[in-house]
Amino acid sequence: MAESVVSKPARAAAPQRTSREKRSVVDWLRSNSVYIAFALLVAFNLAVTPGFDNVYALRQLLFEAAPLILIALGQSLAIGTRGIDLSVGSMMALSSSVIAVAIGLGQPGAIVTAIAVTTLVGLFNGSMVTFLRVDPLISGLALLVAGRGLAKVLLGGSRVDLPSGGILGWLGMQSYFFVPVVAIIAIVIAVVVAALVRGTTFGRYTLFAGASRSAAFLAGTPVRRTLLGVYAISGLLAGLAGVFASARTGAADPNYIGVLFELDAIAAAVIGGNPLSGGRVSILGAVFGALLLQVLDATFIMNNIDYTYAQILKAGFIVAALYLQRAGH
Amino acid sequence: MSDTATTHAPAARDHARRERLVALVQSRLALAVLIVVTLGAGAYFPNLLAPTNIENIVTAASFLGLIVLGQSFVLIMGGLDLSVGSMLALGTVISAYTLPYGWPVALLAPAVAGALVGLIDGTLIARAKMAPFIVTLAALLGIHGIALALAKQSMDLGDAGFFGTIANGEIAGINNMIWILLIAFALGALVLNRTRYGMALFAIGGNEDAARMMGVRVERIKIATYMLSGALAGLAGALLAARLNSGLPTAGEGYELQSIAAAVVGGVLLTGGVGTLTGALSGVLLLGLIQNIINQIGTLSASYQQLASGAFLLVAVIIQSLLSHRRGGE
Repeated sequence: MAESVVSKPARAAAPQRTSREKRSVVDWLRSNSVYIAFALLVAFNLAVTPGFDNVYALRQLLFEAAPLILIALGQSLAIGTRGIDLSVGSMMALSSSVIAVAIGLGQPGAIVTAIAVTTLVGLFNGSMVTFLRVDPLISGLALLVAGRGLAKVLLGGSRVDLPSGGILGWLGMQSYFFVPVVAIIAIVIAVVVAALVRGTTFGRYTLFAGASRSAAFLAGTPVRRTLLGVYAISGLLAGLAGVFASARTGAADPNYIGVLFELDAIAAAVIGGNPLSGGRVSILGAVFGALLLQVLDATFIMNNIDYTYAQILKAGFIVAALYLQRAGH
Repeated sequence: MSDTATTHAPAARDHARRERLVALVQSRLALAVLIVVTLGAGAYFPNLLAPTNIENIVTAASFLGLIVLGQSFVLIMGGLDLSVGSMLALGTVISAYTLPYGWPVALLAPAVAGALVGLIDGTLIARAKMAPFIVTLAALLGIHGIALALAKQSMDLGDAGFFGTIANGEIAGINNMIWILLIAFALGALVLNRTRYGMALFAIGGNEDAARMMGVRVERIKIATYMLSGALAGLAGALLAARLNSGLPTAGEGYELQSIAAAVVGGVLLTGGVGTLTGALSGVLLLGLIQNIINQIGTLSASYQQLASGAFLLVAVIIQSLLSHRRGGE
């Protein structure tokens, strides 16, 4: 898979860094902290946690990680533009509800409709950010509240069972060699997004918009179109994540699906080395950030330790990751 | 942001007048909408304007109101506090644990805990220069975890005695919570508009570097303000525990967002430097009113309330954005 991507525009910080040349070991540790933390946590689990070195446990872990990876990808792009997308958790719920409402169209039709709806909402979010210059934090916040409200209203606030066969059943259950289909899809999409960031002008514009909005504008890059695209992609991926989560749950459950996922997605992106100051996107980092959070949850659950302590530790991780990034500037 | 581009010489007076008008609309819009919605809905639902119902609305909104007070201070300073909702929950739990030591402890311990959380948040933000958004987000997760670790489910306070009276009693026929809310906002307005500290908040929110050059001790004030926000959230938790006679580890979910929504609807700018407490209070009451109207309709589920407050926030943000662009732009 693609390497961590350091953008050209991010080189603006380079002169300061040269004075710290001798601290290159520290720098290396810092820029690879997510992989080191992941490796340490996995090693710890292999040594201590009973049943962790089990393919079924791995499969379960990947099933749960797939939706988080998807929204962490969208989040990384938004953060790369110096924005944020708080609506992703609610978009998962909205997607789930739309599937239930549109199930009469047949499963493929319902899934496509659901993803189209969340993509449109993402486009709307992007329009507010670009054309009305609303702070992305606040437009995302409004969509977070309204999106979940809408998802609940669509189903009258209750849980609706979805058909257990067909595409949804395949997504929810099927795995090949203990790797779930949804995880394979998520990884493929991660590769595509990484290629998008690295190899396309769209990716360059995204990083450029985050590194310096006004410079990007003055240089004549299509900042507005880029931002619209980024939020639309984030909406699309959140919609797909909602499809995955609904398929796994076997039901559309707007009270449950995607709750607090926006926080996990941001945490995954930040821990993975996507600074909130924008201009830099690390897709591989985001994927490992998501996996790290998932393994962290699993560590606590499989050791029968109260899940709430996992939350406290997660909070510590986020602060530590951010502190390290700050030191890197 | 708009305030930094202050007026220049020639067309200044005309410009200044228009700017004042826009500022007036911005700060009083929520109040105007509140009055219109109250009267309009009052015509449809006769029960809505009954004194007991109005008392219910304000009492129910008072806990969010205390949080919004702290949040407004933080927002005006150009910061953001996402930890308030889970701090409220932790506050109720701490109250439940400390009530055996007497009601003053149960009332103040949560506020002290909140101030401590604010001290940590504020130090990371002001001294370590970390983004308020992510620091308080982490605090949200951490505090939520602590609250749940302390209490798996809601804790019954039993016979709370005077502690219960604090939030359930009445003075002059009006619920104590309403008095507390009004006194808190009056004090807050006094501090915000009549003290050096209040002026410093606006200065930091307007332009942090300029404030520092003017001799404002930016770091100290930031830390103090996050402490204030945490303390108010903890206090709101203590009062909620007194009101409901229980410690509720899952209370206040979504309050961080609702508190920002209320303040923003009330004309407090997320970019800092602009905002009034009358606006923020109108925002709180407006959200409470919407909830009550949805309850009055009866056939609508609670989900509609979320949809409505989200939509409200959207409209408010769009109007604000249009107004502030007219006010000088970027």
